[in-house]
Amino acid sequence: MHLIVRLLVQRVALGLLLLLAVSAVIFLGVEALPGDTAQAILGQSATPQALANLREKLGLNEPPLTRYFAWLGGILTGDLGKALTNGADIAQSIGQRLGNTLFLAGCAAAIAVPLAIILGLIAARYAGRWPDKVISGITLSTVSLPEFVAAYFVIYLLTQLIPVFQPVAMVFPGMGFWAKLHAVALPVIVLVLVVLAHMMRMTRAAILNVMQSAYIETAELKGLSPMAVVWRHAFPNAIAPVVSVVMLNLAYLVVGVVVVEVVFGYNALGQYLVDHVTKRDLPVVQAVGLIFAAVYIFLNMAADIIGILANPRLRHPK
Amino acid sequence: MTPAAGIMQSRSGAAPAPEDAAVLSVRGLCVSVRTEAGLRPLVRDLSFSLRRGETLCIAGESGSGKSITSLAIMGLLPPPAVRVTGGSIRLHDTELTALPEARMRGIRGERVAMIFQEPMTSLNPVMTIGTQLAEAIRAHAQVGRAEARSRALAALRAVRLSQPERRMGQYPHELSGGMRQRVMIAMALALRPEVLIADEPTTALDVTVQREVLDLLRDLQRDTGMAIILITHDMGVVAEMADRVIVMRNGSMVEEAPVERLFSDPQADYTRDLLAAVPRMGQGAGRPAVADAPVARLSDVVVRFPLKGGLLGRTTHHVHAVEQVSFDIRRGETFALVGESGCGKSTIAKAMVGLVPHQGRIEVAGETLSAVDPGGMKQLRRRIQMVFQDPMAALDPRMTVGDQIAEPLVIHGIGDAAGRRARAADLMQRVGLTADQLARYPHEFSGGQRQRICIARALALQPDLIIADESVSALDVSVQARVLELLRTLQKEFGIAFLFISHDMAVVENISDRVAVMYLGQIVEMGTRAQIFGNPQHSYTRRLIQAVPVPDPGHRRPPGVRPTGDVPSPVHPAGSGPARVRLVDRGAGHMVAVED
Repeated sequence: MHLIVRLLVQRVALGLLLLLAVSAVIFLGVEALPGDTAQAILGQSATPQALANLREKLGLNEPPLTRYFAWLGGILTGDLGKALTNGADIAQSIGQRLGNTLFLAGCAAAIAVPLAIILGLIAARYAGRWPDKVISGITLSTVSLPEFVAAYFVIYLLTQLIPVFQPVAMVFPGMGFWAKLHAVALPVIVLVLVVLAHMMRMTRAAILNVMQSAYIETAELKGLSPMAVVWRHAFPNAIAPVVSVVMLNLAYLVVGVVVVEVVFGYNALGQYLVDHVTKRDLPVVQAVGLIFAAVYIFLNMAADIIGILANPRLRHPK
Repeated sequence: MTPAAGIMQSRSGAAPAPEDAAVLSVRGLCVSVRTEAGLRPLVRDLSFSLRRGETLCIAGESGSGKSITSLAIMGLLPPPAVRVTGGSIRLHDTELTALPEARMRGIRGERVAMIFQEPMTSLNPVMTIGTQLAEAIRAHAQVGRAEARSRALAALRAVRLSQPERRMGQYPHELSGGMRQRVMIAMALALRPEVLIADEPTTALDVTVQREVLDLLRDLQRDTGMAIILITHDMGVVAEMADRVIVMRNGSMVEEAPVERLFSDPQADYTRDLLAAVPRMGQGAGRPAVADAPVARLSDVVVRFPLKGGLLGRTTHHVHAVEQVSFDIRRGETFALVGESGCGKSTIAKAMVGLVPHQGRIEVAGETLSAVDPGGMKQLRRRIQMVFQDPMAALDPRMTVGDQIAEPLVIHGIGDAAGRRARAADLMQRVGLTADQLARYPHEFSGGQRQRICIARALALQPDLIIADESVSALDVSVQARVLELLRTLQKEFGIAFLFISHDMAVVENISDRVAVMYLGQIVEMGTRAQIFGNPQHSYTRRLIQAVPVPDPGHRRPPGVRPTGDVPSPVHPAGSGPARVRLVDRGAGHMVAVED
């Protein structure tokens, strides 16, 4: 058990170190842009005196290292600064939108991950036969469709032909859970269609790879049914590659869904980020960038840890 | 255990039982594979019957259809291409070929069980031994978890696995190869099947472990009265285990006979050829000792692999793979290293070509390996070449064999394109292939031909020494015999020295001039072939030689003590190591380790 604890501590420490490095890269990237925050706020026509005053007020005359640590310290205490464009507290603005983002991603993941794995298992069980071909064909066509095309198609189908949902995914604080669920149904369907194929194909490939092993033949010789062989013997051995692909897709669901948010008018992080990028609102870009980086690092770390825990060679060293 | 010994047939197997006593009867079995050119038969018109308590050996070389036959009986032919196209397989009164898959599952594992060649990979790495055994039991018997566990434990006891309670909670990687094969046997026999099909059950095991597993199978058969179909290419195993033998070739039965008659009076030409190709102890032709200068000399070579542990990743233990090994290989001789898996023989080969770091001194062609610079190392690589065990894995599947044979010349910048092509063509002919095959890819050749290609590639740079690491172990006996003959011819022609690494005592006895026996990283006995095989002094050497199955049914092994337990571990805590063995000369260069 000692070895495994060590590995886990190592992975978590590595993740935190990576996050620190990413925060430095983000800070440096923003720093390297021409012009500074004061210039951005006051615009091209600002007088040198006004610029100097604002720089003094914002602490921009401090050396970069001091400002970096001040920023980092702020993040650790939950203070992300103020947005330049409207002076709103960034932490507050992000807080609610992050909740919306995670709600959408969570709903999509809760459907897509089990569905992709089950479809992958079925496709692997009937590899080369018609269920496999149908599943592969459908998932491949949904993934090839651009998100907005899929979105409009789903909107037409489920609001015009069969009017069961609203075309706009409006959510607001204080909404009940089921009402919220009903509101996000369409974007969730679109996201499921987008991420399904990748995870399903990885599950299928990983299981088919394991199915070549001698221990699968052993399981067949015991007289187990084919689905029991796939589920009990092949899948546990295919966990690691499947989990790493699942985590990449989860990360995409959090950080990469801006198109879907825009189509459905869903108020979440992606839209917030794009809005502020166009307005050169650097503190917001920095803060959201760091959150997205943290999501990637955390999910990949989780995939690593699950892979380790699934391997008895590491849990029970000789 | 039921005292069923009385039912067992006598080993002579002379009295044919009436047809209705057969547990399993196969009549006119045909298995075909669907190809683009139509159905191609894999097994043709095979008939045999199997009685209770009988052992039937199906012998033959790769591609003879022996494994396909066993898969047909189990109903596990790979769908949809391969299927039974004729004949019947009856288990008592049940016709297996007509059985729907769901009912076949009920028979599989319960009434007919099977064990395979690869014990290392036949167990699921993420499930405990106990779970896997209990699963096999619960797939057929309507019993609870606790009952299944206690039956699983009983099965582990029946195969004489040490510490069975502890093994139940362990994972496959915690067990050695021999232990895993015992678990496989326990799994197959837990439900007391009427028929056990063992497909090359000991091929992947060391000889002493093979001995234990074969003894175990025989004891279990005596206790339970099950019938065994033993599929093997090893005529030594056939002679020891079989009551009756079927020899197969290209999908057809060539000969069926009781084991004594098969060996004493084989009827078919093919059987005679097969028996003649089997390497036997005491067949090696004596050659005058070579007294030439050494091409390689090892003095006190040590290879250790660190095992790291603790929070800071310090080295806490070492694997002592090779400990203080010294020997020399002279020009034009064949020096053999023998020993069981994990004894360090392959590690020595890797150290000699600079693939693993070593301590001590390795001299090749007069140069000390640890003292040469990278440029010198490249030059030195020309002097030593290797031929590996698995020729398919050692050849690039996407490169023509001509390019692969010429590649060493390209790497070392020898000759121009035309010259290299001519050299490759010449080498192909030297190893018994033709120049017009140069443009083909590895998959177009048979296993034996691929190994010839590997040998041609090794010869391209005209090395002084070729290291052959289990180079003939994966080949059929008749192919093996021809490849060994080729090696001898090439040695005579080019004066190459061979370092021949093998676990197969009979092959070593046939080809080597001098032999070193390794045990746990150290040489325990070294001498000429005649000294080692004619007058083995060390107890381990004797045990190895005695464990080799003898291809003669009349041979009776001395009822020696059965080897028990596993080989001790070569892992020692940092700062300590194994006791160093002391070699003393017992006359004429016969070095033997002193035993207490």
